[in-house]
Amino acid sequence: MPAEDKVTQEQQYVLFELAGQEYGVNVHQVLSIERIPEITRVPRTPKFVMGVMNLRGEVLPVIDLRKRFALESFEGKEAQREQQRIIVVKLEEITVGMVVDMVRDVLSISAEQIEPPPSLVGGIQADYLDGMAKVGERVMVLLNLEKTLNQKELTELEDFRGSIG
Amino acid sequence: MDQYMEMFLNESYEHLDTLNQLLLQLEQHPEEVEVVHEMFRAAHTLKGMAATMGFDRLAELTHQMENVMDQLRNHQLAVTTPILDTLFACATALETMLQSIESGAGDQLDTADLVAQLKAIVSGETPPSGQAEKTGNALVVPEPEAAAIAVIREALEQGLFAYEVLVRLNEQTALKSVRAYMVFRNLEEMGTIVGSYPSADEIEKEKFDDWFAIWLITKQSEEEIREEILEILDVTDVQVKPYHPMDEQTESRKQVAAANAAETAASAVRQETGPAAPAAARGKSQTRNQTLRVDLGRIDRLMNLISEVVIDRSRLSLISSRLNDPELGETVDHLHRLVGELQDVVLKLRMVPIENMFNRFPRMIRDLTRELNKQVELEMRGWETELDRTIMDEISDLMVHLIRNSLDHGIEPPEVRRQLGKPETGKLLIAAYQRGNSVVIEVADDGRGIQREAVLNKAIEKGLITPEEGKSLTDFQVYQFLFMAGFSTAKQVSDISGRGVGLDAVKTKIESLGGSVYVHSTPGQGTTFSLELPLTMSIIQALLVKVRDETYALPLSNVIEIAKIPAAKVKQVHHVEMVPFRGDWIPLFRLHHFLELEVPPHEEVIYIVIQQSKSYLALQVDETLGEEEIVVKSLGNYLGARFGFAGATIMGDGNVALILDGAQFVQA
Repeated sequence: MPAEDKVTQEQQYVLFELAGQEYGVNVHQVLSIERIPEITRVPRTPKFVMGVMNLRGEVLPVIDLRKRFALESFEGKEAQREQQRIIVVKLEEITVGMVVDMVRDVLSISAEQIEPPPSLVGGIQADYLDGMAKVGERVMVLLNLEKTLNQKELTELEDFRGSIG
Repeated sequence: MDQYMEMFLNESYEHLDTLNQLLLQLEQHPEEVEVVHEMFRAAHTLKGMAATMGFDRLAELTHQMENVMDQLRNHQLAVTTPILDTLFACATALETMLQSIESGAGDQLDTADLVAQLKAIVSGETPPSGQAEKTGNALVVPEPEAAAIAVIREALEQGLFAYEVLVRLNEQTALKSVRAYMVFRNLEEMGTIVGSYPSADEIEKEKFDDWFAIWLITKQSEEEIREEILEILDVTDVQVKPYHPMDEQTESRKQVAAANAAETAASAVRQETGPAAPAAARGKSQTRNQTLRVDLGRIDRLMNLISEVVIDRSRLSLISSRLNDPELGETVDHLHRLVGELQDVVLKLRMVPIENMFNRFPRMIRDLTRELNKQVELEMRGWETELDRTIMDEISDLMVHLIRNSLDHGIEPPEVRRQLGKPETGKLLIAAYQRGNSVVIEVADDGRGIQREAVLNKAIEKGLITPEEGKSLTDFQVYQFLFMAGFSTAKQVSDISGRGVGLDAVKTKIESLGGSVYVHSTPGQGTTFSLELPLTMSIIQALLVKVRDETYALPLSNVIEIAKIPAAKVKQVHHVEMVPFRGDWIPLFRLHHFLELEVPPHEEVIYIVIQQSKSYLALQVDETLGEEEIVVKSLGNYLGARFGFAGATIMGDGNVALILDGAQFVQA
């Protein structure tokens, strides 16, 4: 976490919804929020990789966050589909778009409001989470992007050489 | 590294290259003194730059080299092997120093020995072989400059005297330039100095050994001049001779002088434009174009911008064809052509003739063959072939490795060659040429070749294949083992190619550049290594294909042809589907399977034949959409390099299409 924020002990989070639960991701890691464009499927990748999209001339990989966390798949109506967004996040050298049900708002959360996560929240293992934040009545789960975007699960599926020819 | 340093290094390496090249030329044609002039200029420029940058040792060494070259060009010294060897050693030292400077360590190298050798040569201590002894007094003084000659002629007409005054100073004197200054001053009091050798400027900087010459116009007699100068401390000898311009004609002197001046000027121009005669002899043009140094980063930025324009151009074409407005269509067509040309121009900015890399080789090969006691005749072809600057920088070391490999393992020692009935001098051919979207560089020797059995045995020993499998492999497949990590068949590790990178590293590097490497060999007759490299990195010609409703791009560099046959004609051979290709049968690879799609029930099978090295494969597609220039983008760090895909591109409609890597399918 950046040093200047330690003074105020407050961080801003982009809050989004996924299968009825509210999640937050640190605003420092968010590049932009996009509508869902045409996405090109990339064969021979895990199911949660939706494919690649054209983000202003660059090729951006897009993952389905519900599938990433093995949550029930999205079966919303047209109106709900309209609310789906891609949150473009950047973590060190990795830039990825994450599809979420909807983006709610940006909220400041102070360190005291954050508690360690229970072992399982809304079906997501605690490994992927940084903690729980309680602001008034709202309970938000703060995502750990390092774990979420861990490429280990990608590379495990990478060696396809044996399966062809 | 700061900008000046980079510029200094770049230019210095260039001059060093020139120096090496010219030294080789001089070694082969010692009579070509023009070459020495060119050499002198290269050394001189190097010296100037080194001094400016404060690299004193570098400057000192080049200064001493210059002195030797100066005597060579003035015929005071003959070109001999010991002198050439010393100069070659100096060139090597310069390279070491430049590398050291590049690494930030400065010009640290003990050059005292070399400097001493050079000084010895200049002072005549190393008797140049085959040359009449250098006599102490018979100094060779060149003719004064044309302008000076003209003045002298006029003075003679007016009844004045012209003298050539040779002044020798005590070698031990500590203040050479001061003594020289006094000579100048005293002579000026007696008449007019019209020229000197070396130039007054050089004398002032003590750029002379122990003597110098002055041309003086005066009314005084020879003896008066002599006495006047001998009074100056440390002057050991003075010779005063009446000076008569060379082609002294009584009539129309001025015209002669003018013609003379013009001729001198012409020869000076000739020298400036490079060694015309030897260049012609080598059969390659060396006309210097005007150049401008530009930071590679800026060109890359320009390339990226053009890439964006190219994408928009496609998009615009699509919109225009939808709107069907003739005026818009015409404008878009024009824009299409212009952008195409623009793209060509920018691509060419990154291209440099392969000559820049080739220039390094003769010198290196000369040293290596000496070290290995081998005799090799080098032939290089395709100097003008152009290659992307970045690619060339990357492969330069690999080429060195392949050349070392050929000299060390390929070409046999002269005695062995004689026994085999081959000419004692081996041949090494380095050739570059363009083939479609690729540049091919070959390193071919006429040496012992690769023994198939030796490679096979090693592969079996390493457990890579069974002896049975070995029998069915083609030579080409067998030689591919050479490129595997840790696979070396050299019986003893030699000093030359046994260290550093192996062939596996060559392969890895070339493939990371989007190229490929292969080897052909005939035992007893020689080996050829071929590097196939993309012309440039980021924009490629591609064939767009449809598989079900998805569009993919296939780099055209691998595509041989598009064909179709009735589905019933597909042949089954040992569970492998085969399709015909040029009278042969090649395996059919159903892209649908790889792309996790169903193969639709077609009556016809459309396939694209792709080639990688010597292998062919037919890729089944549903439809071909035509060729297009595409900008290659990576899939991003998250997905990383994925088998079968070379990246992605953004199409005219703004959607992303994946680029299939045909070469990988062939290899798999």
